[in-house]
Amino acid sequence: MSRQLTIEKPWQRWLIRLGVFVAMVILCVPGVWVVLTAFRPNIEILARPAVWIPHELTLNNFKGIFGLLPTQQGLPVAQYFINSLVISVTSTLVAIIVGMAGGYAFARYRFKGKAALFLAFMLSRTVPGVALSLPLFIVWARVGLIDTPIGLILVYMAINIPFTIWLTDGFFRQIPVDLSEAAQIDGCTRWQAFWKVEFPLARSGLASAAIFAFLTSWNEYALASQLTRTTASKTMPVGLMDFTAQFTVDWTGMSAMAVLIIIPALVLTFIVQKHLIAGLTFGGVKG
Amino acid sequence: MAEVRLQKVVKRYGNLEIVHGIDLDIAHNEFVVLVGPSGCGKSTTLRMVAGLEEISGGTISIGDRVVNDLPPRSRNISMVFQSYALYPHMTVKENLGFGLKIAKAPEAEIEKRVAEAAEILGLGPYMDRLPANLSGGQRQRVAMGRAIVRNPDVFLFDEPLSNLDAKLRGQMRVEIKKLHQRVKTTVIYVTHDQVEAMTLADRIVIMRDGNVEQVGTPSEVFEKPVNTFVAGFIGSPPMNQLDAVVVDGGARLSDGTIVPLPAGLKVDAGQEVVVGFRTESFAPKGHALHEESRTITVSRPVLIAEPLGTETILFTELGGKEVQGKMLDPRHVNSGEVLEFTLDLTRLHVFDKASGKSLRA
Repeated sequence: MSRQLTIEKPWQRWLIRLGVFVAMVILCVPGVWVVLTAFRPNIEILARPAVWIPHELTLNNFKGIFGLLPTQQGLPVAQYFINSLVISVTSTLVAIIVGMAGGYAFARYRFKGKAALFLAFMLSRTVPGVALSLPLFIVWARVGLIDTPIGLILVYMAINIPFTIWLTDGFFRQIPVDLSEAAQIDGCTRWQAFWKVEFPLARSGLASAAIFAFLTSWNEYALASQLTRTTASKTMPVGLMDFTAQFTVDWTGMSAMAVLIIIPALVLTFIVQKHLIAGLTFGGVKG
Repeated sequence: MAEVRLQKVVKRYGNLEIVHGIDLDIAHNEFVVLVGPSGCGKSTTLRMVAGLEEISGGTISIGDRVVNDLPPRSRNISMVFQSYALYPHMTVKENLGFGLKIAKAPEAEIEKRVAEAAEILGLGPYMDRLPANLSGGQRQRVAMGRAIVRNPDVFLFDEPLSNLDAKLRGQMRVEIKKLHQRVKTTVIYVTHDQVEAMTLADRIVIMRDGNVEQVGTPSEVFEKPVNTFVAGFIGSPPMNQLDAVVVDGGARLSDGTIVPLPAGLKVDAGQEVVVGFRTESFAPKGHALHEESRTITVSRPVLIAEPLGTETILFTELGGKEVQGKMLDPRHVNSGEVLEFTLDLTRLHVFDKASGKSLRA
């Protein structure tokens, strides 16, 4: 395919570039618009006809949501941030530890009902989370998990673990069994062979799995909006709804908050980017 | 001292038995090669000695310890894998020293033993490279280095040369032999290549379908194969094997040729036998290995001639089957040319057709 591209004529190449550009514009404009909105005054945002190029940029929207402006009451953004962080990090850690163990077991051991169990995990991914929100709400209400971080952590674990198992199973499968056997002959216990040989080789795969799990939890809105009530457990995406009143929506504040949600996810993705790429192309980079 | 003893060793996967009670005694410092076609159970047997497969029945002992229930790490063995199984995230040096590091050997000793192994195998210039940056032959050497560093009682090789090209395979074969002369250790070596088996082994164990067919020195299994399977498996080109019926004065092939049988052979008239002879026992007049031996002569047209330089392999027909002969000190031969072939009767093999067993005492 790529060989064909190289012998294409210049105008064809430009056509492809144009296509890519249009696709990227469609993908990126909403994000760019949110970021721009976060830095513009309300008047400019609501103006008709729309002001496409910002006339002035301001940090007032951010000050507003933190309660630093005299005209506006602040929101518990810091508490939301902490809730989001605690819930996402905890559920990711558990998902990785359990998912790694599960993925390893699926990749290396033969046991009864293995195929059926694996299929069951995958099928659980086909159920839209929202469809479970009502039963989940009723059960959580009975056991007293509504509006608690633990309640959300459990939900996100349930969402993330099957996916992590599926992903890590694939990564461990690509590591030849010979390596673990060689390590055992070299004097390792099975456990040591795992930690010293197989784990380091699967690390980039695990990093990819971790970032997927983290982003899933960090960005989740539908279930969190049902299961949280107060600052005790509300996460950042749920906090966005604080900006809607009965008749008005504070688009500036909402956009500023959205930027605050995007930043950690973006930073994290950049940090593990190298691992992510290495992880997703694992098969190709192996000698 | 590390002799290895297998007694009635059985391997079962569920109801499927794939190794049927093997008995084998391997002496201290002996180089034993397990050879056989794929699926004969040779690798499984090796992996049972290594502890990578559970033993379903019988006992395996190394030295005076029964190792049936010991994990691989407690058996004091080393193994070279077909895939080399080098740790991809460690340098050559780290690969070599890994076993000692796990055993918590002092840093200085690790350094010393790794350096020794590197010197023996000529790995000095590559010590800081990752396995991905080594050639096939170098990886092979690292795998062997990793095995000798640990100073094991038994060295296990699982088809170590099958991933190399023919030329490199020849070189590494010699290196393995040199290594064994230098680092005296008991070796069990698995291969499907009978040339490797013949060249490396003190003793060869020929396996088929989970059974041992014959155990012997290379010359024993070559000169006195106990059955038609061993006769066909050992030696290249393979031994010619022709069906025949015992009659007065010899064995009659299907085309009526009478081949006189060796004296003292216990056969009954009318018994169905298989007459076997190696290519070098069937040569055109004046081009044979042993000229003075007792022979019979047949005139046969050459179907195909394969010149190999020092010898030419001639394909012709005898007893209704294609047979191969060997022409030493060759001259050019055209296909279709009729030659006088001599069959060396002193090197004839006779097998019972029904059982396949050799009838020679």
